[in-house]
Amino acid sequence: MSLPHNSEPDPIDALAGVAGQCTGDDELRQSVLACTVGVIRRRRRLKRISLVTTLFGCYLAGIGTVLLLSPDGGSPSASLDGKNNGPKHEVLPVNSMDEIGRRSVAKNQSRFEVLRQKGDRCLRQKRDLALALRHYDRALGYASAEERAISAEDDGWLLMALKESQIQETRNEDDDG
Amino acid sequence: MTSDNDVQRDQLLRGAVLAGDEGAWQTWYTETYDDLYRYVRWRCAGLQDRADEIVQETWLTAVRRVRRFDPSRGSFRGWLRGIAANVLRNHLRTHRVSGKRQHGFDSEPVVDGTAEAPLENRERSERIIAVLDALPERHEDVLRAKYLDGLSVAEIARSREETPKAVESLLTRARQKFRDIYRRFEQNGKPGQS
Repeated sequence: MSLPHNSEPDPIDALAGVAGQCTGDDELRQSVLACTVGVIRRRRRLKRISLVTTLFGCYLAGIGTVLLLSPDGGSPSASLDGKNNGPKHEVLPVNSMDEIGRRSVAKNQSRFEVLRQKGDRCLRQKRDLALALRHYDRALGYASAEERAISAEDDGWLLMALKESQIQETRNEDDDG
Repeated sequence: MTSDNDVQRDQLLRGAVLAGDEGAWQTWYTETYDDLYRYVRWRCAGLQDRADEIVQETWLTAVRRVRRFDPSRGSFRGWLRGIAANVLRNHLRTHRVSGKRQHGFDSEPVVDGTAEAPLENRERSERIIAVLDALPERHEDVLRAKYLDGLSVAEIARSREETPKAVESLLTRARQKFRDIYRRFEQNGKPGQS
């Protein structure tokens, strides 16, 4: 173990000399505080921005989910042209029976034929399914056995369906009877 | 030794700082700035320009890494000192690796205009900085407790949970180790070489 020479200062003494010295100037203290507080503020700002971004992202995800899951186009419509036809179809006047009779006589057509043509016009031109159905139904009321038979050439799809339905009803009644 | 109350307080302050509370950070800063500065000044052997630089870098490192501070493992004060020691060590390492001319380490005198003490004193200070860095941690710790914190042997023994005789023996060994490393650096002209 070597001991310090008498002529040379003990380096340990330097440690004691340094201890307890000043605490630094205020300028350094304030500038370091300002720098570190700036870091705190930036971190807080970044946190808020990331929170807002996350919330906005969730909002967009929700909107996107709703758009993806919603059905395409509008709601299905009962009429061919997609319009929601309420009770806007033509209401037959009370004395339409007389008129149909006059027309059938004038055109030398049966009442079934007149009403069938009216139904066809409603379907083709006005695209009024409900009114066409009523005309066909009334037509079948006047139809002879021959006219009740399904004709692929003359009958439209709706009249054919109605005739088919009536034939089925008749068969069922016969079976039950 | 930190009490449970101190640990709890540090935990609350840490949580507040991480949440962005400037006031909590200022509380920590105000309470520990002087202590840290004295420690760094001691480790820098009184060189104020070096101490200022280390203090600044220590605080900036601390505020960026405050999430890593664990109050259950030690006080905020002790954590800061650890950062300061590492910052100082990195500075020394950088200077050695880059081969920069150190104030007083080379044979030619360096005039930088910022030296506050005569060249010989500055050389001695730089040598002391290197010696403290080269000391084993337990020796540096006990020398700091004795010369910086001004604790008596009994107080050091109490804080370390050792007997006074063990502390005295440790102090003697630490002083001798300090002298030996100092002499070695003095003879070699540069620190870090045997």
